[in-house]
Amino acid sequence: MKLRTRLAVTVLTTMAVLLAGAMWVRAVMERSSTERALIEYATERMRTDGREWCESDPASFVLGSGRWRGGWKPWDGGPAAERGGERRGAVAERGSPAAGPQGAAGPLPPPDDGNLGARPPAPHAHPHSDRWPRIEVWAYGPDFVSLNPAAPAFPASLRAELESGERSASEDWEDGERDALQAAVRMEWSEGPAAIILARRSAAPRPLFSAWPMAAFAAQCALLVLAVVLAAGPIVRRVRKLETQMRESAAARYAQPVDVDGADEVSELAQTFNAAALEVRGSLESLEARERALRTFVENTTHDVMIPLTVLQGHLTTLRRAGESGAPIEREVVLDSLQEAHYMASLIHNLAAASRLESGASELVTHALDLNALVERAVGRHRPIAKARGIALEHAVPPAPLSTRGDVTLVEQAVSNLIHNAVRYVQPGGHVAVVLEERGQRFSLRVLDDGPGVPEALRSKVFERSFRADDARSRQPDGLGLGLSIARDVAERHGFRLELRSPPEGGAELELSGPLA
Amino acid sequence: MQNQRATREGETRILLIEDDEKLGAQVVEHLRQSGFQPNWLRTGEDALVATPRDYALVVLDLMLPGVFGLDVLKHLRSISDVPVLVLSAKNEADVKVKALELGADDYVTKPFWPEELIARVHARLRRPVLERAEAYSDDGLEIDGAARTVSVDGAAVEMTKVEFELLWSLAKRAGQALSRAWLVSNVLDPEREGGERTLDVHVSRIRKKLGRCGERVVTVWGVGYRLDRSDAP
Repeated sequence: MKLRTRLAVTVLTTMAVLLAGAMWVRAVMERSSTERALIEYATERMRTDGREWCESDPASFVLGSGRWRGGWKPWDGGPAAERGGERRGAVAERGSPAAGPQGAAGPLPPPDDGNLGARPPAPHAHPHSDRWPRIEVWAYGPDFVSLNPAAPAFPASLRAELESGERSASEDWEDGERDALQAAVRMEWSEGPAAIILARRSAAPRPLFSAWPMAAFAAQCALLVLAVVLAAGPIVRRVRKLETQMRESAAARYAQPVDVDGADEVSELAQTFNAAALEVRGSLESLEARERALRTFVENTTHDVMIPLTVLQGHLTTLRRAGESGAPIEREVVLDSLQEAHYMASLIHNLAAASRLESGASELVTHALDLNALVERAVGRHRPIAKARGIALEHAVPPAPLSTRGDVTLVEQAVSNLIHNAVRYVQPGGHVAVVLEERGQRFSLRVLDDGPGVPEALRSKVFERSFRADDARSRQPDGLGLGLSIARDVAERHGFRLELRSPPEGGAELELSGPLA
Repeated sequence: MQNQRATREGETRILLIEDDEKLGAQVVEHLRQSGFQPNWLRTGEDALVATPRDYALVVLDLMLPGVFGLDVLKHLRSISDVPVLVLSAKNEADVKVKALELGADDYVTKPFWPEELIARVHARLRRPVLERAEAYSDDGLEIDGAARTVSVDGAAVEMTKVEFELLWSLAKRAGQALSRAWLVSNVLDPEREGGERTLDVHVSRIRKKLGRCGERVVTVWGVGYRLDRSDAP
């Protein structure tokens, strides 16, 4: 539901509830005032002249119209009108203010319904109208029996109330007409034929919703709805504008913020959107940067894999030809093929490790890892190729296993890279040693070789990724390759230390150290 | 004992669970050449009904993607404590960690060299023997850890306390190098002037006393010392 519709519906619903409440309150108050007025009217009439009249003619006493209850209405005219005419006239005469000179308490008009404006002083003023309530007052003796045979039997519930000590009582009266009310009053003189009176009021049916108030109410509603809809206008316009700007911002990958004006909920929403957009923009940018880095890396690595693969294909072709022609197989070719395959496997492992390293800092999940087993696996991976190259690859681990916390794949890859690096650059006949030791509360994992070592000028650059991008791509012994930069990254991410040393006796020593678990 | 049952016919039986035909055939061939008696099952269903107590070791391919290999591992662990060596194609830590948590004893990541796999199998089969070793006996050289005696070709060799500790440390892990630093701090008496120089002196004395077996105590470049087996390559 749109905002305006919702507001209008809310206003109308609220008004309907209010109207119902007001009508109920009015009905309750009306009944209570009608009852009071009826009792006062009847009492006062009896005091002024009703008692006197009743005592003089108790058998036919009734104030108002004695025949009315009989089923015909006195104001309907007809034969009955003539019979009752004189008495009705008497009622009117005696009941009218002008005709009551002895009315000490002041004359009372018949109870008004309070809503329909001035009403005629007597019912017969409008003989053909049933819009006005009729009132009749019957008199009863102290024993609740009327001397007038036409009087209705005294209502039992009212009688019970009076007998219980109440001076007056009233109740709704079912006479086929709405708003009918009857009230019983015990007069202050408690004897005679008019000791107790029963006043009955019959109201003509009135429409529940009379035309004028309904029209006024409808007009009020319409005005209110109009006001609400008009008031909602600027809000709706601002929300629409904000929505348009949000769409534009989203389309522009959250590069442009939305306008923030005013100091209300709409501007707060705009501010919140801007804050969220900034965050989204940040993650988008870091994602893009990561993706770029990874793409570059994959391109480089693909290039790197293509070279050994091409060499391997060449070697296999040579071997195939040798096999076909029966020529002896050159040991060098086989050895080189093994090395190329090994190199490719290492590259691909590094690609996997690098992609995980590049994918962000939050993903490092560490477990307790057994460094002895890790060293043995990493050495085992390179031993076949070292042996084939005539390099002594030896290792030592402490008899009691050392363990630390880390990502086993990444740490193993880092250690493997250190070993691979040494195995690649040591000349045949050389040595590579991997030594795992406990030093204080830390582990020390050293990879030593008696190869050419690292020239002083390159020492600060060997762990840099950019170093690889320039000249380390070369697989010549003077290039140090991708492996060390990955080892460096892994060490950093784990809080380990990776150091390169050049021992005085030559060769190189790489040490990875970190806390024990 | 499981190992006795698995090796009663003189050959070590190894169960290989591998779904790839080429890789499986290759691994079977290399295991056979190394003196093992491999039995190759190609599916996880077969593996679930295999009786692991007939084997000294199980080589299990995790058959990724999917966790089926891990299910097999779980099943094996639920009915047996046979050593399990896992072949992992996926270089992902969580799978390896999961495998180790489920009771795998070791893993080898693909691609691997045949020698690498064989070496891991040997290492796994040897381990419990080494850790419980109380005596070393190999081609004339006898070392008794409990009695603290050494003999070469039946002739007793007198050794000092430090020399015996040194030789016994190497013998308990024969074939494996021990670092000089470890030997210095764990074997030499810290009360006396014990440095790496002293270690070298002790080793050269041991070599001399062992006579023809002296050359089995080898200096390992960059590492320390190792007691080789007579059949060492």
